[in-house]
Amino acid sequence: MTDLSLVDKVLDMKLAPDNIEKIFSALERQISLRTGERVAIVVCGGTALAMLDLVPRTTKDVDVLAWVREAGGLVELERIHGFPDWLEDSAAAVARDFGLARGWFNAGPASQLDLGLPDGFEKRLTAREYGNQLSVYLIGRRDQVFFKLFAAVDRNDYHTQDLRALAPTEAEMLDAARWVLTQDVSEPFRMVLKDFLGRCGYATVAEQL
Amino acid sequence: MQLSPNSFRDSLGERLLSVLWRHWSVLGVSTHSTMEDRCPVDLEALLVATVALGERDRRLPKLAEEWLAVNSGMTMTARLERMHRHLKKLAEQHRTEFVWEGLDRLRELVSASSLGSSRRAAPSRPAGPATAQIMLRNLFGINARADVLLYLLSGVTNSSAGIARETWFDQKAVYRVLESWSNAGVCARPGKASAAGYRLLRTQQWLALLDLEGPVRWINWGSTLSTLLTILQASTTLPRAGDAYLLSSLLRDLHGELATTAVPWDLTMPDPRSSPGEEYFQPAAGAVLTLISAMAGE
Repeated sequence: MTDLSLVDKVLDMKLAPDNIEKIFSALERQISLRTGERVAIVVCGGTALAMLDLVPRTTKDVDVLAWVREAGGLVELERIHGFPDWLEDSAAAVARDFGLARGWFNAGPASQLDLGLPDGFEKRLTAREYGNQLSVYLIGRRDQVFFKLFAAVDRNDYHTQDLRALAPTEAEMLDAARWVLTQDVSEPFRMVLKDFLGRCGYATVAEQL
Repeated sequence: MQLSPNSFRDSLGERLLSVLWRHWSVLGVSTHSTMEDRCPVDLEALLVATVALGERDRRLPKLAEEWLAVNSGMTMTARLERMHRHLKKLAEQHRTEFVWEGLDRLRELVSASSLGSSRRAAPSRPAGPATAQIMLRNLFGINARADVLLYLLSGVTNSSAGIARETWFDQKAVYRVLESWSNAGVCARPGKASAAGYRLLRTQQWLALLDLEGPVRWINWGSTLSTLLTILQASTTLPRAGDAYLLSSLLRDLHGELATTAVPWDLTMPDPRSSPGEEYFQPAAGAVLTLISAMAGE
């Protein structure tokens, strides 16, 4: 049983390139204590950026996008509608043990599956195995560009910094922009996107939208 | 020196057995162990722990049977069951379990014993704090009075519910004892503002009368042994066996219980917030071994 009273008091640690592997390994072992079930998940955001060494930065949480159903070498993504109790409890134990923020392991981006993913998304996933019970699929660089552009358009925060660090080519940015326009089809959004691209040095991409 | 999960498990097991043998030694069992001489031995807690550790040392359940056969009428079924339930529940909460081989036989013996043979045990060793529970049960009979008085002789003030938790009796039974003693002027009952609970009056005179030197060092053995046995059992079974991270996590889970357990021994447990993840294993496991060593008289 995890004493949650300690969770918010501890070290206020963040996930960083030098501890992410330990933390996923710990999560797998906590899962093994509670269930025999295997867990396979898609992770996006700062954790995936750091683990693939695309943008080596710290993050406070792990954004879980979807479940992965593995069959015959193929992967199929499935919408997350909340985590089972044993996974919530496992994550809470890891949060307490490593001084991570409550909610460090969350399905915040799960609704993206309803809105649609870039073509070929599954083929660009990179799998990492932890023990016998946890597989973490990290989204590819191209998909990071797509998601980061969508997140950054109307903000000037770490998403914009991540996008700049990914340094997409004009062709990548054009593909990303066209996909982003499928996520929000409104005219005002298209104008905001074009403005953003212009300010970020992608004026020629903006002209093509 | 680095402590491995396996060496922690082995040392914990050995020292827990030493503690039990020290306590059995107080009860007249012939052993090579030095006798517990500072804290009152708790019969029911010792019996539950003896069965829980029976797999590790087959002699223990056997000698418990032999002791109960000779010393009938000294133990209480309800208290034994309460402690057994607590340990079982604690183990389940922390995802481990005990075999409990021999428990039914022990229950039979305790139950037969509780039904009242006229034979009573006299402490087979000189009187002192370690045999105080037996001495007081001989004096008051097999009911809450002996254990409540023993607890109050430690100089504490506590509510009836708190005393019931510490002594493993039903709160109503403890309350009735405390009220009758308050009426008799033996106890001070909780005041409206000043006192937080019941306390014994003329403690020094009681200690002198019972030939006890200084306040009794009260140890809640039911709780203490349950916590340590749970750690031992968890460290013996997969997936925790050999896993420093999972053991460190368990030691964080049980930090509150361990910290409380360490107080009477003037020891402290390291703050779980001081070391992230597996790094907590070394200081915490070391502290648990220091604690159990103190109990084992090392």
